[in-house]
Amino acid sequence: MTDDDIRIIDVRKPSSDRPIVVEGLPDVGLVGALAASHLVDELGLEEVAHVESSLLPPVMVLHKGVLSDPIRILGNGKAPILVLMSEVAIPPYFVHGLAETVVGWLVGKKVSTLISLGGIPAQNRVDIETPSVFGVANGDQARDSLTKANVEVMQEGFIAGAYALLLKNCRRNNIPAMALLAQAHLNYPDPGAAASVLQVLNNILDLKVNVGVLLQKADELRLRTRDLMRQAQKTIQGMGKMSEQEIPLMYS
Amino acid sequence: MSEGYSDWFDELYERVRREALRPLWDIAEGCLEPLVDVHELEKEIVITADLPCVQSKDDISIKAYEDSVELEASMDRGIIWENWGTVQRHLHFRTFKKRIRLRSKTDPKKAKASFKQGILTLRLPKVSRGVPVEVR
Repeated sequence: MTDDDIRIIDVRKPSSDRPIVVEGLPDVGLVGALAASHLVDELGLEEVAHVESSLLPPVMVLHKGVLSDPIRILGNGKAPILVLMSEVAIPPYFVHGLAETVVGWLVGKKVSTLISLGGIPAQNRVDIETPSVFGVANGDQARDSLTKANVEVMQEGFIAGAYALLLKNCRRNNIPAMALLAQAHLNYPDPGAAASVLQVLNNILDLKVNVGVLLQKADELRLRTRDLMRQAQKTIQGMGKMSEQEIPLMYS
Repeated sequence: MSEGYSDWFDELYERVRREALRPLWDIAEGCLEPLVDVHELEKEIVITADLPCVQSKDDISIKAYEDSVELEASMDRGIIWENWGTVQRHLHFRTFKKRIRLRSKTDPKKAKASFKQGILTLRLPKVSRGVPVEVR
């Protein structure tokens, strides 16, 4: 795979100089995807760029009759935030190249911080009323931000998937990055977990995103996102996600 | 490769292919297929199903057999996605339906089910076929 295989095509210039990027690609419980699409609605974001690649299935998406690429970056709304989201599951073979290309784009746009939103599988999720959120940081600055927001920071363990590579590539390029991970259903869309990560995002970025709306339409979202969840189930298996349940050799 | 094995493999491949390509809705029956998870443990098979818009356990019907489970559930509203696709926009969905084949024999009379936060959990004890062997 070469750099030319995956391209990010700019559609319009982001309105803020040092934007914060929020990533919500389809993963465990579609937590990031549900949270990202809610952010796009609530902040009134429009497309600023999209991902093109001959390595992806030949799929486009229609909204209100307008043709769009399924992996997009949206922004220029009420807050200096860009949102990376996808309406198709990300194939495991595509993740490395995508993370490399996205972080190259973040460097070019002088992005100040990357925040990934996602889920961690909780076997007893049906017994949890409000999912807890844990943080993963790629360095001291991100860790301080999590600690100030009273987010419990993960100390030991594995992380797997697109967000793991985004954290790593951001660190290599001196971009502070963190992941907010809510307890979630592994294989079912989980709007409750998405609401939990958005509550924490509100605290960290001083936003006022209405998560009540997300909870009110939870059933509708669970119905509508069954197809994306089924796609993501297959890709999750290939991402080494089960390693997130394992204890590392050098545990201390 | 024997002809029998080849036929079995072809049938398995075709079943997996159909499963992967099949949409999660059925025009003929006007029903949606729920997302399900099947976990085979040592002594039981645990099936979960995501049933949004199903309000109560009274709206769920389960028929358990030795080697399969039939699941049906009524939603609290009719679902129409008016702007979706071409033929789909005229469809009206009211129920979930799913038939799950099991890889091991179970005892359906001892099955137990619960329904919490829109997730159905069904536990089916496996029929024990193992015979203890004494080590001398």
